[in-house]
Amino acid sequence: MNKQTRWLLQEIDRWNDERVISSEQANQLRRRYADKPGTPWSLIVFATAGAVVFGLGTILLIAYNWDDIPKFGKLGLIFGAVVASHTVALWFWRRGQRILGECIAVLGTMFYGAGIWLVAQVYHIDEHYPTGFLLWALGALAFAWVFQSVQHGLVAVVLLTIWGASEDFAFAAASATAPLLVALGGGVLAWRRRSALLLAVTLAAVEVLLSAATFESGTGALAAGNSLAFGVLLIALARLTATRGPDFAGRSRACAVLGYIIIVGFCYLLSFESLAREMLRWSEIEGPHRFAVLTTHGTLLLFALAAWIALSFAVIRKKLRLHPEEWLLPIAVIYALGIARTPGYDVTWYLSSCFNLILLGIALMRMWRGCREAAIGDTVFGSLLFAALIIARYFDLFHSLASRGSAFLVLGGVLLAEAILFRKSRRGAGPMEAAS
Amino acid sequence: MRFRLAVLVAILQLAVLVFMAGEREWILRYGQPLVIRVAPLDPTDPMRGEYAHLETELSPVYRAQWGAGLVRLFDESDHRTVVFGGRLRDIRVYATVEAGPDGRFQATSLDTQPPAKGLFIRGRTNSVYAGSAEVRYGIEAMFVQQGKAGQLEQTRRTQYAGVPLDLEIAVGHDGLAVLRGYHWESLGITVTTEQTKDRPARLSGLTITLTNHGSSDLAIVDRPGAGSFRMVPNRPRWINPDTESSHFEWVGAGLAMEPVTAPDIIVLHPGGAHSTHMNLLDSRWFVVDRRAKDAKPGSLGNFNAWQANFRIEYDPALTPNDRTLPNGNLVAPAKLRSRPIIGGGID
Repeated sequence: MNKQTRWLLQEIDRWNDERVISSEQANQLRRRYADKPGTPWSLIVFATAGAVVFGLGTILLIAYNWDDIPKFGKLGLIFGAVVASHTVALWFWRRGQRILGECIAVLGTMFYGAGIWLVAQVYHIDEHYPTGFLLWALGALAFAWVFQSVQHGLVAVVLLTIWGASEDFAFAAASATAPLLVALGGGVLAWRRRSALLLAVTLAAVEVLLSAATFESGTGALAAGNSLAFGVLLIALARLTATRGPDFAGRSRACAVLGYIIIVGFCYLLSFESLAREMLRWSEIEGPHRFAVLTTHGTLLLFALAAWIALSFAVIRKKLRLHPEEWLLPIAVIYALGIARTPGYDVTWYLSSCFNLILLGIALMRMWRGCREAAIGDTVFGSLLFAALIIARYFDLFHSLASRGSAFLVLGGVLLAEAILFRKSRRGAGPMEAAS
Repeated sequence: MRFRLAVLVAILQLAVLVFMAGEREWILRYGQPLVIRVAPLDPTDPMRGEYAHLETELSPVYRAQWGAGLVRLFDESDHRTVVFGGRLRDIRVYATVEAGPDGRFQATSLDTQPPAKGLFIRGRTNSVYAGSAEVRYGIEAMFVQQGKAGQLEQTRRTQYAGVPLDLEIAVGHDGLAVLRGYHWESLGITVTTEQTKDRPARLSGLTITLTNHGSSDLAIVDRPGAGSFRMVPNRPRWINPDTESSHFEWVGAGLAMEPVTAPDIIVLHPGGAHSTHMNLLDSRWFVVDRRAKDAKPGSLGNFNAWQANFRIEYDPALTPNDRTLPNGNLVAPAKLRSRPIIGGGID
């Protein structure tokens, strides 16, 4: 039972004793917040990490390529390891020890991957190496779906990302297959298993693959535009699903966190004028993947637009609330793509100013809200972003020591004021806030 | 149901490994064996360890040898499909191979479809240029125990200096090639340089040594005046010699070799060597800069340009009748090329 739930259950007992709530209401609340059967995270995390590291160690050990072990000896060892680990995994699984079974199956899948590279080594195969990662990923993905296994899902998503990125960077063979396979294979499983971790890793993988594919086949402006659109889409989805109940909370948070990382990351890069000039340089998409690249771009924009329209309706109908600074996020996408398509954009002085203002708006609003509501997360996020912005401009905006000094005085003053306000709000919030 | 599916997935994983290994094991045992020449280097792969990179003589394949499918594909592609400096990267291709007079196999044509008849190897293009296609056949890496790839390179520089390395492969019915191993050829060629005594010193002559590294007797052909040797321009492999003329050429490039007489055939016992001198100041061995105005032939040592870059080629050039000469049957038919010689010394 986690700390918050334990506190809440104690409080429910107190409210019931003090007749703040009725016994029936207290029971309803207890049922609602009572812990579900505990997930043995320590077993999952350590056993999976152990299996993955053991498998990687096997690959490196095999890479030494001992002359003393005959060819069939090496093959027998790795085939035997695959068979043994999957047999043990299935045995545990059948006995009802599913998590332990899944972890051992991860080890088997790592041996399977090691086997692919061992066979390639034994037979001196120097073919299209991303195919090795694809075969390995499909093996992991199949187990992920059969076992409904988050661990296998994570392994599969990482391997599919390596496969897609290798195809993009080493062979200039960008395609929509890798992000689609990751989104369907990992994303749907994450949704079914309600795994925020798998969802976050899947969404990050989709972002990496989309950026790699777009950058390889298209332009920097398209890659930046796609990433920003993907970021705002994630935040819209996070806000739309956050009110659907506690089951969605983890996944919504994963979407929101990743969306903010993408948007803030890209806006920060674009806040540097020289970088913005390079990244927003638009050139016509050419080459064999033109249609796929443009279709992906259009689809992302369309989804992002649809999600924000739905979000706007929900806000207008007062079904949910949106923080004021979040309206700045779609503006970043519109501005980035709009300015990229403007002829002669790169000589304008205001190229990066919009991104500076967006970041400043997000930082100040987060700091303000954090102080007012005594929310430590908002306060820290806003403060760090504000400090990062000041430090960035220290190098490219303020040229005299006087202005640089003043900027730091402002930063120091704002942080000091924030600390006082936050403390005041925290005191005003009372013991419940303190307990949480 | 789910348990059965899990068993099925485990079996499928194993099946992938067994298929990968089994297909190649089958080809090793029952495939068509071939021998091709290579030149080794020594890189490392993070997943499979250290390997010797084997650049085969099956690549590049020049445009004159391309089939209609590849020509059409290349001509229909344009600058928009250029990646990493070339076009049509990673396209599946099939090289028809035929044995040369020395028994080693060479690519005779390259196309996007397998040939209707004849032996072929499947590969993928690295890059296709206007005049040539760089192809990899999946046999360009020989994975060895850590430290052994460097030893192979060291052996090539010392014990087997100037000896070509032959790659033994087996080819399946669908063109899949599997590396079986390698062996050193018996005959090696090394060259030492001589310089003039004036300052600055210039390249004046070469001593070419042919050595028998094999375990049995073999013969070489040494015509009078180093007549079994040629100077061949050393140009990047991707430049098509049929369509692009050399910057520098040897004046004797178009001349035929003298007929072989019995005294020209010299038997080398195992470990034995025979040296021949080539006087580069003799007009017979002059080179000419074809791209210079009023080009005049001169000694290689007079040209201080990196393009003045040649290899010495040994060519026994035996006719079937020559084989009837004493020890003619011992003469290895293969040509040999030395390491590059650039105006001024050995590279």
